[in-house]
Amino acid sequence: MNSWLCAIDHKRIGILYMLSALLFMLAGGLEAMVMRVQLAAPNLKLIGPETYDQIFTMHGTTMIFLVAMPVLTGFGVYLTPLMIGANEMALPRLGAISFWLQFFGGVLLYFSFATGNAPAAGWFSYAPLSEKAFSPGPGLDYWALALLMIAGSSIGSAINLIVTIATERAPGMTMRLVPMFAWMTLVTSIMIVFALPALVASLVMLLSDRLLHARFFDAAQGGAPLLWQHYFWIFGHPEVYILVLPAFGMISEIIPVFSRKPIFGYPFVATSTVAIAFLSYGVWVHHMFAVALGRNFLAVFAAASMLIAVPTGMKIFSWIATMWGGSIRFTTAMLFAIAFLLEFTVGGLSGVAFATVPVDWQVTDTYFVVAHIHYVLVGGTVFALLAGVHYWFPKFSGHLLDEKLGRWSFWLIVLGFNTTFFVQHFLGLLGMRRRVYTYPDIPWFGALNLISTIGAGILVFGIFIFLCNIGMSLLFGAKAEEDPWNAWTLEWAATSPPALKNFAQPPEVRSRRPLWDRKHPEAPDWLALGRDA
Amino acid sequence: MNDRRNQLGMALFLIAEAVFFLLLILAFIYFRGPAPQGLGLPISFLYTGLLLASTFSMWRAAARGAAWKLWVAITIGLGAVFLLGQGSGYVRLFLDGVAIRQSLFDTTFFTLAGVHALHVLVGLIALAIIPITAIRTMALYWYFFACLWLVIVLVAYAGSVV
Amino acid sequence: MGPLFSPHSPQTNAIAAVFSLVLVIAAVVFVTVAAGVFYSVVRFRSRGASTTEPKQIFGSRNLEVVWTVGPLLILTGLFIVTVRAMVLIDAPQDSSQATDLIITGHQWWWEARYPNGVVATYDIHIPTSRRLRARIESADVIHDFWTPELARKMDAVPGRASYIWLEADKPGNYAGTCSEFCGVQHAWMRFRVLAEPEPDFEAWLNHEANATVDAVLGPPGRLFRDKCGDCHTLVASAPSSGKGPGLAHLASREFLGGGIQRNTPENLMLWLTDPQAAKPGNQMPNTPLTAEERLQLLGYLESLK
Repeated sequence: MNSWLCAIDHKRIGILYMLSALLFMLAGGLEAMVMRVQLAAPNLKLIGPETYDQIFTMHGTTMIFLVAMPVLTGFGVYLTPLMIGANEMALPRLGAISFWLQFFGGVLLYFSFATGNAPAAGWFSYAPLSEKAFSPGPGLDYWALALLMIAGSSIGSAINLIVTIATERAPGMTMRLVPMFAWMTLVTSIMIVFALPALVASLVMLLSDRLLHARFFDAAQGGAPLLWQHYFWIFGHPEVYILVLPAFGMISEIIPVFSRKPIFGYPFVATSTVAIAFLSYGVWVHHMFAVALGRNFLAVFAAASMLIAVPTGMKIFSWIATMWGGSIRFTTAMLFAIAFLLEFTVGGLSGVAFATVPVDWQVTDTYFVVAHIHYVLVGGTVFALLAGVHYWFPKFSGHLLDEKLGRWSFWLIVLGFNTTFFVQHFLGLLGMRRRVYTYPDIPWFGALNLISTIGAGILVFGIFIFLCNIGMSLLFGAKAEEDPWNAWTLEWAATSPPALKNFAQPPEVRSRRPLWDRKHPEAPDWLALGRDA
Repeated sequence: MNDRRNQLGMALFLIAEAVFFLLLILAFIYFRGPAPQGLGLPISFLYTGLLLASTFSMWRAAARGAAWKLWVAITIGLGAVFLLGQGSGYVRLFLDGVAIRQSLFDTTFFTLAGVHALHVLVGLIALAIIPITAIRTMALYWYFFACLWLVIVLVAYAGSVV
Repeated sequence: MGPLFSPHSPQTNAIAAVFSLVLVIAAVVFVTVAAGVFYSVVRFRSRGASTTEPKQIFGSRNLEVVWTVGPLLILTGLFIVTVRAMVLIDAPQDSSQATDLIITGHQWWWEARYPNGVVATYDIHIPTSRRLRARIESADVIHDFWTPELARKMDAVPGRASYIWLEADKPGNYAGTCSEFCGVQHAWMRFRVLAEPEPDFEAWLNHEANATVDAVLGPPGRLFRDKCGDCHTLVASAPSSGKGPGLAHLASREFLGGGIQRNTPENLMLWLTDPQAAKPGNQMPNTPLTAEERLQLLGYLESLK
């Protein structure tokens, strides 16, 4: 136990992040199910509005800050040193403290439930609703303090990852040769350094208002509620790309290995990622299209929001082109990766609908948004994570997951997810708003909500099977060798799981696929590509 | 080698801090209004000068010569004088009723100054306990917060004079 | 069906048209991606236990250009359509131009004030075949005025005034609701826009402007004034207190509490007995009343047709 609590080895820290995320995912999932049951029929009174508002606020905050970000950080911290041929992260103690700061931030947030007063203003807590006058309880103070800790944690781990990739790469691995997951992790980490401080600033200002009677967002005192929205979304929009780029990185590792071809157009995938990173700081006002900010001002952000679809879409085409002409093996990891392509495309397309300002003027703040965010965050990030777990689990644990259980969980999750969220597009178009604890008996509202709730039940069952697979595999699973998938990046040269010192000697790197070069000395990548990779 | 890692890490941390303070400064500019009486223009420039002077002593300490500890002590001394001096001026204002809740200027200005002061305080504590191997990294932190204070003073006081 | 499928104004018709375009683009893109995925998955599946690797292809500049320029062109077209629609739909935000209606959001009801001083609560009358410029304001937190068949959403931000065009192409009752989370009863902050022909609208407006308190007051009315008058008005000609919704013509409303209950004597009595049970979290205090007083008030309120 002690060796886990005091761990500074990046592999231990990575696992800790994943376990913490799992714990909070159960909490966030429970919150989701309570909401879905309450919404299963019109005018239900299973829980009242005060409770419901706390639950949807905690659900969003939990899933984004205590599940998605930590688990992606966990994968980043575990895999990055291995992929770049290093034995450790650059700043191991910073890595440890970042983890515990995040974990205790989560504990602090959940402590608010014990006071009977969890935050209840939504995961983005607009002012002036978030001011003391309208939210008098301590819930939002817990929320702000917990998020300050979590933001600090995130910045810390991002700094650690950047320094690691900058200084610890194996000899021969130039920046142009890093594996795509490491590259995406690097870009994401740089984005975190520039975006999370905006959240910190917003929270400091909110706490000043709430606790010191400052006037930043208090309209009655001359403050500006919209300032909160601008500052929050200056963080919030890059944040959603922070949540998806590492997922793109995972897909970029998995599809090539199970198609038996290298990723199509590495330089374009890498460059388009940087384009997305830059553009993501210029679109935040698309969360505010329903505010009268001036037509020209809104039009600029509409253009930027549409533009960002181009480098994103390029990747989908690159991944399809990677499969094209390959020899595809349908492991569970590959099934989730393929499903990701379709689900994320749906999410991206509904995003284009929101970039179209007049459409936004009808569908913003409805279930159409809820559908969109879940298609990109669950259909996108979570599906990529599920692929990633099935792919890297043998490396982390030394055991293989069961492919049969994997298939069952895959089909249940796909069925459950799409049933839950596809109908929500229609609910939004029919006029159902988000963040309502119940709704009147308008035609189709009840039926579609019921379908969505049933879907949620199926999704939960699928996740349960997935978790069973993990548990059984840890206890009884077949032993995994170093390289069960016949893959090409450096983590597969270490043992499963890797020893404390990942590599006895620094590995030789001459291309993006060092293990391919080793296995194919007659046709190594560096020869096929020439010097220009 | 460790030094390179630590300094890069510190530089990235300071970039994050810069973004954070930039947003607070922008909020200040957005809400610009009349400064209250007695904000203490001349004396503030004295304390600002002392803080800027401490960057010199910090630089000498970072050279890691035999007398580095002395230079660190001087830096801490100058920093402490800055905090106490600037702080006592504000305490007088608070007693006069000027407070963060008083007006938009006060809200934004005292938040800025207060958060900056917290960082200086943390810096003083860090300087008191770090070994010589960390002094170059700490120097980056110190230079940043000294220069930041100059920026805050110029924006705040210039804004109220103009 | 829903708001995007039953537009009743030039603005919402324009939105529906743009949405149709977005839907077509989305369908085409999705089908293309799905076709690519399914074709690859079928055509290039691994056959048997072959150990030879397929041809290792690293990229194609031409293909990259195609799938960058293609989407860029489509999106440029979409952007042009977007901007043109915005110009058509959006009202000028100029405060100096004529304002036909001031709509204010409160936690948790809507009211609309007309130029002649009439304040309508929950049911907002407008004339058909004339375009009104409505100012959207908030008395407390951020709300959003949304009547999907007639107009775009507009956030009501405290401290700011925002303007929308409000018009209906034919008479009818058009549902509306708050569309920005505004606190514990955001779910029940509904309203209606009642569009009627110009003469009927004018008649309504005049009638309301001339309604006086005396005309509706009597002994039970004085009880109302003492116990409830601080927060609630009885006629539309009285200025809003800002503390509670006006109750003019209460007996003719279909719903109570912003839509939370049907307007029946039982439900109205619940408001007099225990407002927190009627709409949990709302700001109406539980005024101490005897059972006799409650019956009197109930009868009185039921008479306000």
